[in-house]
Amino acid sequence: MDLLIRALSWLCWVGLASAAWAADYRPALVFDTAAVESSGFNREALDGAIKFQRLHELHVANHFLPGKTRGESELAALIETALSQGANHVIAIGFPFESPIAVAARRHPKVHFTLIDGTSDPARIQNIVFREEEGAFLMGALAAMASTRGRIGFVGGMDIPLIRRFACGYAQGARHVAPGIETLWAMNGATLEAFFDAAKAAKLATMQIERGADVVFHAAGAAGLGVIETAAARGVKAIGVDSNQNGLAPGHVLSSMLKRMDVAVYLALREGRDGLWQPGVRQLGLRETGIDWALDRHNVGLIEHAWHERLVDLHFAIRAEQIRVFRYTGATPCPHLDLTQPTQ
Amino acid sequence: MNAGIEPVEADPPPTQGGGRVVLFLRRGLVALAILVLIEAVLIATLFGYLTANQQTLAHEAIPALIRAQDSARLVRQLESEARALLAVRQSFAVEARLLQVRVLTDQLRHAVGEAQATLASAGDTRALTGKLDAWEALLGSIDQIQRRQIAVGEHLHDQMAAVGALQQRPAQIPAATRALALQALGQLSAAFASDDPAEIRTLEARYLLDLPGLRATLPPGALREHFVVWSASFADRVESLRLEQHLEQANRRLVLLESLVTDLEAIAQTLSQRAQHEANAAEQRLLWASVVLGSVILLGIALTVLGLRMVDRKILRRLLRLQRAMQARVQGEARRIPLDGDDEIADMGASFLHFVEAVERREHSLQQNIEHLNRARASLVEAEKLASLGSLIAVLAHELNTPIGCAVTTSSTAADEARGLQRKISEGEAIGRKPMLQTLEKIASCARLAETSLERTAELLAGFRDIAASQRDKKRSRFNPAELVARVGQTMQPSISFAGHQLKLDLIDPGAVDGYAGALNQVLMQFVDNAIKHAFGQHGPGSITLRCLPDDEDNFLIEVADNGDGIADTVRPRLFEPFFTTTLNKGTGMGLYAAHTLVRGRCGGEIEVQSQLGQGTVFRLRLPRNAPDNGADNALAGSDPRAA
Repeated sequence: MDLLIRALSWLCWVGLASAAWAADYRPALVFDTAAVESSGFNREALDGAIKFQRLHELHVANHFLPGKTRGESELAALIETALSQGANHVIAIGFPFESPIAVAARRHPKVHFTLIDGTSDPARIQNIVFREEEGAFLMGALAAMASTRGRIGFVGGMDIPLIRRFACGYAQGARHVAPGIETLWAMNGATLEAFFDAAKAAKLATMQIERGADVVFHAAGAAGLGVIETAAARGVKAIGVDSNQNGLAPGHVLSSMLKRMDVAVYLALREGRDGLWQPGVRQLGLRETGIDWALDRHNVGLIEHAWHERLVDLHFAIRAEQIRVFRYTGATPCPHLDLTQPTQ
Repeated sequence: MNAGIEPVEADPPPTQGGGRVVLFLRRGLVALAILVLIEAVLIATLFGYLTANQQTLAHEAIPALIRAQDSARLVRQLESEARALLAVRQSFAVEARLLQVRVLTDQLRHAVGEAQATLASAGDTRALTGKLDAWEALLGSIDQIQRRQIAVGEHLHDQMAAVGALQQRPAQIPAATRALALQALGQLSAAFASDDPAEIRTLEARYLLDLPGLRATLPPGALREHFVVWSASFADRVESLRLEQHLEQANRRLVLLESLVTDLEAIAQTLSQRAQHEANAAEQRLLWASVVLGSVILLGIALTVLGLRMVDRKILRRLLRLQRAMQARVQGEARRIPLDGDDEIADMGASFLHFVEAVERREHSLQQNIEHLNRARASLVEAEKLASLGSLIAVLAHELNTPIGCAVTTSSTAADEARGLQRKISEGEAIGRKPMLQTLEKIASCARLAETSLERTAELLAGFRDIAASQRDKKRSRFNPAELVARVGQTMQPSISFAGHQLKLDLIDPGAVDGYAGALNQVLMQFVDNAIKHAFGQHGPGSITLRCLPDDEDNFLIEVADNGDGIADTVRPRLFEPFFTTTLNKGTGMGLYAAHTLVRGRCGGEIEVQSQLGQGTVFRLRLPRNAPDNGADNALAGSDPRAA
């Protein structure tokens, strides 16, 4: 946390120094939902923009997808809207923008495009992705340490490689701590709706708990609330994702894997303003504090000191590349978890 | 006389009632006492109940709340100390800080232990102690990490200094190996500067690749050894970074204290709620108790009022009615004595009635007796009057007998003489002049004697008539007694002077009075005449004094005093008897009797006689300013001359 603050203040300093260059910097953020508050992921991204705006006194336009339909054409239209309003740096939040942003980038070569938490056309677009597997690894290790029954669960949102990456890292971390541990996994669906269907996620979590899982990690966005509520109701532990969800059911959320969207957005905005934007893929992980895990008053009592020390050591080992966490992309099967068939 | 008193027949006294009023009052008092006792017990119980519950609040909830708040404050202090601890990089400072933190921790543990007894639930205390244990573990680990960090840091610092010194003076390195050595030194300083453990490990790998070459080319000695030793610096640097991360995480873990504060605050809130709840409950209880107490008191008041009403209706009003009736009866009104009921009050009424009726019966019989007696007295008075009249007539007859007898004798003698003479004359008997003259002389003498006797008789009768006449004089008037006395003196002056005596007047005006001036006038003249005639038998001429003076507000005094012979003790008792006289030829004996009769009868006064032989006599008349309005009816009967 301390490091992060230092980093942010350093960034701020640099930002101030180059303010003169950014006179015509007109960034815009595009979100695939209007319900930003219900999704920690989007909320964090917006927070990053707000922080940037406050620190640099530079307006950041925010465009939210109205309505419930999340088709590619709607997302493309949203990007066009941002562009039509004069944006010269479009920052898209989330993988659903992968193909719309590629189209837009081809159409508007003079505009800078950044996609956060997704990969698209690295030749034209700056992609900022996270090493989710590192965080998932730590959460898996934590779940394994907390589990007394030798079984832990994972509920994903939309069944895509990104989410499977969570599951794989989670299983790896768990096995690293407890080689014999079994990880149950399930996905909430095959469409974007899977990130919002809390009832179904709750059902999946219930099944896993009934099968003996006493820690359930979710990577299901807003639908993950169902997982947390179920775990709390069933008296087992849940692990949140993206933002700090410890406070949703104090005493029942073991921790939350943090995907620091605010860091990513801030980074993109800062580089864009400083003229440091460049296409390609940037990965943010534990080392960059792009990935972290939440420790606050709600869960500090749940995490034993020894577990914490172990987590710190694992964290450091990953930083020092002494532990290499498998990054699932779909190209190679996960060596730590059989992802071909969800555990029923 | 006793024959007239009727014997009072004795009613049987009323039978006694059952003592119902007493029983009623006793029962009422006992009931009242029980009521008061119950209320007292109830109040005491309620009070005890309330205070006992209040004690829970005062002795448990509130102190627990205060302890919880104290603990929270302690934790905050601990947090700031811990942050300071994490910032220090010198071993002695670490120890000092740590000591402080441990002291605070001990205090906290103590506080939590104390609070344990009163905490909301066992779960809370377990969580708290668990967190405290975690905190102590964290402290231990911080201590350890700090020490290692400092040790590693110092070590690294030395090596950095040595590496830096060597880099500054590369001439110390043999020329053959200088390039390689500088490359290795560069890797070392890069590692010292890097924050990336992965990068440091890469540098280390490279260094380790270069190290055999260095060892081979460098001459044995300190420098070569240095390069060998420095190969461990990469690991030290990584370790330093690892420790740093641990410290950073320890710093994060200080949130434990925050959570402790949260827990304590939650407990404090629970306790506060409990205290509030207790307070509310106490309020409720108080309210309830007030209602109960109020009801009991109201009930008590109602029962008391009811009891008082009953007492009032059953006893007091009846008593009052009885008392009024009794009072009325005593004052003579014919009021009925209430006798309803069959308790003591009715008994009292009955007893009173019995008593009153008995008294009335006795009074009635007494009244009859008194009337009887009065009638007897009147007849006695009448008899006395007749007796007095009889004696008067007897005296009168006796008194008249002598002169009338004398007159009869003398007149019959004269008649005999006249008849003898007449016969002699008619028979022609010569009568000599001398015998004739003698006979005529005899007849004349007899006639004179008879005349004298008849005069005497007339005198006696006149005196008697005077008494009767004065008794009949009933003219009442308002007059001044002093003036009356003066007039009497004036009237009597010639007689007194003729007898050679002197009249003195000594008058103090007592004011006008209401009475019988004529009677008084006659009385005074009688006394003065009496004095002239009888007072100065042996003594020479003396003085007669008439006095008039006031006595008191109802009476006045008139005195007729002389400085004559005085009255003999033998005479005095009979002074006012009728026809009693010391000088047969001078009076009839009726004067003082008449005076006495008038004073005592008509005027309603008294006569007092003071007399000493040779010194004189005082007749003192005490007379009422307002004479009684009695007639002459009792004039004779009411007077008893001997009483004077």
